[in-house]
Amino acid sequence: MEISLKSYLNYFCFIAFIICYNCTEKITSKEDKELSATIYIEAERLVQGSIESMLRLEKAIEIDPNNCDAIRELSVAYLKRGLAHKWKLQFDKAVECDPNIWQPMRGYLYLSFYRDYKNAIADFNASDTLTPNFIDAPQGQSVDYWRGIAYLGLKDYKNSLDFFNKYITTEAKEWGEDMVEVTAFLYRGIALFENLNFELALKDFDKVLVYNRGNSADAKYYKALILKDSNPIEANHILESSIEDFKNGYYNQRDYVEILKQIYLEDLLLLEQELKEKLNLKS
Amino acid sequence: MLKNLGVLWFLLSILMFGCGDAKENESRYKNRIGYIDPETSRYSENFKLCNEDSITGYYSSYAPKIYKNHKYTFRKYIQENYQNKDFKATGFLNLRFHINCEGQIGNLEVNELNENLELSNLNDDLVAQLLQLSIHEDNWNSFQEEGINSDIYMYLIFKIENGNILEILP
Repeated sequence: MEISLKSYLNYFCFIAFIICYNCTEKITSKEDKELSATIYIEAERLVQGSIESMLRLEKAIEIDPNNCDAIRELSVAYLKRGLAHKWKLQFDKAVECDPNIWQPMRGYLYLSFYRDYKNAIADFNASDTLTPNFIDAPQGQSVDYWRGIAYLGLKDYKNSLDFFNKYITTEAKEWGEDMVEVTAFLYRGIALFENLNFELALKDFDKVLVYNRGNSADAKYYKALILKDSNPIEANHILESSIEDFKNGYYNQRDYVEILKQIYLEDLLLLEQELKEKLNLKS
Repeated sequence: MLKNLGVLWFLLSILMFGCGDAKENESRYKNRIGYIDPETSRYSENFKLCNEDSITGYYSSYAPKIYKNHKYTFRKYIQENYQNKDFKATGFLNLRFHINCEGQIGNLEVNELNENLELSNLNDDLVAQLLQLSIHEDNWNSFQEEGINSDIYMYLIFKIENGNILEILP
């Protein structure tokens, strides 16, 4: 008996349905989600960016295309190794997968790794809409804190101060002032300093010293800058202490990237020279 | 009938291929992420790594340890020597390279990106200037680990607006 092409196509549609059903079943089944999560954890234990790790992450995503953690993790080695274009392509997929989590995080990465202040602010602002009545905290800090820094990078001191004020007020009310991230006082002080509001800036730098047990090369450096014309003797005294703090490692810095407004020993030595000249002229 | 079977086999093959693209992915990773291929990079001729299997600086940037006299000095050197010849370019210039255990620089890869971090073209003169200034060996320390000089992976990203250098990252 001859079987017609029409019959074969009917068989094909039936088999296609079974295969596609199975594919769909794989994506959505609880077991596969668990398997994907397990493979993701295995991948995390391997050297980040190694072939083995990347393949496992791909596998985790293949089994569960909604494993947003794996999608995001696939981008991290590109970020850390400076391959910005490849990081962006992959991280955007994580944002698409779970914007509530990864859009504010992308804002943090734009800010910290690329100093892309405008795109960072756009992502932080988007988080206000995505998670209303909830303040997201990518990398452990409020989006208001990060917006304060981003606007400082843009030299938009009004907005920078507004967001630092909001962040500090909210945190202090909720947890107490001593639980506020101390660099918020430092950065707000810098924004005030740049905005020529020296009186309030000094208060913030003093707060940094209170909460850092008297050690902060940054706070002392800015205090010395403020006092260098009105009281060069006091400024010089504070600066010497700043240099000591710096040499002891008490300055604002982090691994992976240079932070905004990071100070270097050369900055301090330059101010030291300027102060010495002022003091020599006086004596 | 054989002809019909052939048609069915062809259609099923397409279907199976669509479900099995994970195998295709395996070919995407010939090396670890960040690997620089000497065959496609610049300054690779006569450049030798001391231990290709143990290059430091892939997990996180070792930049703070290998700028000679801190990044402050590197930034100053770039600012004092780079000339914006009325360039209009805006975007990011990414340089990736190795510093071998003898302090020589090689295996340089260049990626020119637009503002959206997509591959693009900046200005050839701008790129050539920043490249030459960056690989100046006086900018870099060789790196020691447990008393032994080690090869280093390094990357730089220049953020550029209308030919002006706004930031040197990371």
